[in-house]
Amino acid sequence: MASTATAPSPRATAPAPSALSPRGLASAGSRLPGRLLAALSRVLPIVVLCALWELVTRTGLVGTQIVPPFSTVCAAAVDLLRSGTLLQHLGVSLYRALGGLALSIVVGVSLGISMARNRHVENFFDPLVSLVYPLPKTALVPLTMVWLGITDRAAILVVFLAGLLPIVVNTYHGVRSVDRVLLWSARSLGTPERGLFRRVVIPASMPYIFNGVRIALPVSFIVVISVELVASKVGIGNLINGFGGLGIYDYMFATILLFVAVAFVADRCAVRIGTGVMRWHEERDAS
Amino acid sequence: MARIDVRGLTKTFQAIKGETVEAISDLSFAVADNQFVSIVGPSGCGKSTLLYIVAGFILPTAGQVLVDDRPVQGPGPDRGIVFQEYALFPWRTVGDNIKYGLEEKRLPRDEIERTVQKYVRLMGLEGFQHKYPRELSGGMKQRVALARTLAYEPDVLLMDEPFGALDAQTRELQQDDLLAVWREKKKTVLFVTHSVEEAVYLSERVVVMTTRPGRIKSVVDIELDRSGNREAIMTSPEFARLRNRVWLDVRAEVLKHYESSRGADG
Repeated sequence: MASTATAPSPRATAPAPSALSPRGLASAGSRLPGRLLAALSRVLPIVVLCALWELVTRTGLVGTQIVPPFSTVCAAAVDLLRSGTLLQHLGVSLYRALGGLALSIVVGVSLGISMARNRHVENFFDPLVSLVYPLPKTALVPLTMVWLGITDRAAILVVFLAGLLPIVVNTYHGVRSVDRVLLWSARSLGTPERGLFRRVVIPASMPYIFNGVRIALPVSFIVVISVELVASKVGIGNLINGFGGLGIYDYMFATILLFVAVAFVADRCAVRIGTGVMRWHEERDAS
Repeated sequence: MARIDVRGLTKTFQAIKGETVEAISDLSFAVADNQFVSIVGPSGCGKSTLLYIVAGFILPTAGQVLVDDRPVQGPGPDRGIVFQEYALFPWRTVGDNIKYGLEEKRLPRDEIERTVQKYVRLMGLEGFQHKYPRELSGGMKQRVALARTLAYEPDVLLMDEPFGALDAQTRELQQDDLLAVWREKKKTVLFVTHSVEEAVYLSERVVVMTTRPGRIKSVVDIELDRSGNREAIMTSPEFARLRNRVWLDVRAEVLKHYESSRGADG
């Protein structure tokens, strides 16, 4: 395979693991001030950054033509939200990102499983996966413009391709790393050979599959913006590009910040779902 | 009548570059109904391989295993297995793990529930039913594994160093629990272990295997007065004599293996 899977912790790269994990809540839940303090300590760097941003622009250290002050950007964000402009474009971008992601989950999980279970399928797809893995999928945008024009379908295709490989690779490793003794135990407990897949292989690979999805989710957000920057008449990427081209930097910054917020929330939701479904999963990073 | 009859068993593995390694060679022995037999021997002598063949997980190169006079052709519900690494399904709670084999039997729901409760009580797992394996200690996990296997009610228990990963104190407690279960449930047990002491304490018969390729070095019948408690048994001169007898046999094989591997290195 082109790459090895990372440790399949559903929140391996989560920026705030303790406060949002069920175990973290259970251990600190009784001491509210402790939790509050912990939450504050995570927000603090962001507050400092925004304050610094405001400071350097207000004092003239950085020209407001290049970087608008944080407060101005906030006002622009409020306006964008109120007018409905942002929501309209956000809907388009989310449709493309999540549509592409959904496709890559369906195809990626199926392909990963097939490759892990069938040598011929693996031999056929392994070189393709290895070749396509390092390719920046956004480099295909000129091609998809020719094939599909400037459409939702073109954007979804690129997002799909970008999300596909991490899911294939992680699923493959998940199925491959199912412990032999689990399969043997199931066999001796009465599971027939053909029942092993549903009863053991799928549940045992879930953390890996989820890890693949967790990697593909931000990729789909990144890629959809990249596609929209060059080949779209709508969407957040197009909006950013439009504001930038016209020199309306406060609105451009506001659009970027709001999209970052949406992406963050989406990631947190994915983690919540993952840990909810896999409460059983042993965490490698648990202290 | 022999419950398990191992006849002329040989297993060779394909090593790298076409070389073959003989794991066990022409091995024969029998385990009687309700008997507790342990297998000891130096590391890599093929003890586990033997057990996996009896379980039906791997096929022998030559020879066969008969269980109740029927040749073993694959894993079956008549032979329950317990592994050193517990092999619990991590996505299932304790109760659901114990339930697994009963679900495969397609028993009615209330009967499954009753049986689970029975084995939860038997193995002292009350209050842990809704925990996941990762929340349990090693000793607890092994209790769950044993409960899961017993719940299916196999007549034969195949145990692959089940207490090997436990600390010495937990290990002793688990051994006594296993003996109690064995006496109560009337099982035939084939028990693989590294520990000579464990083998002698638990078994009615100990089979010592030679270094690779594993053959039978000796078969020692363990006749101990088991009317007393663990303290009485383990401090008895008879226990010491049998332990020494088995230990010397194992020791001789370990040294043989050590000499030959040093010879190969030099």
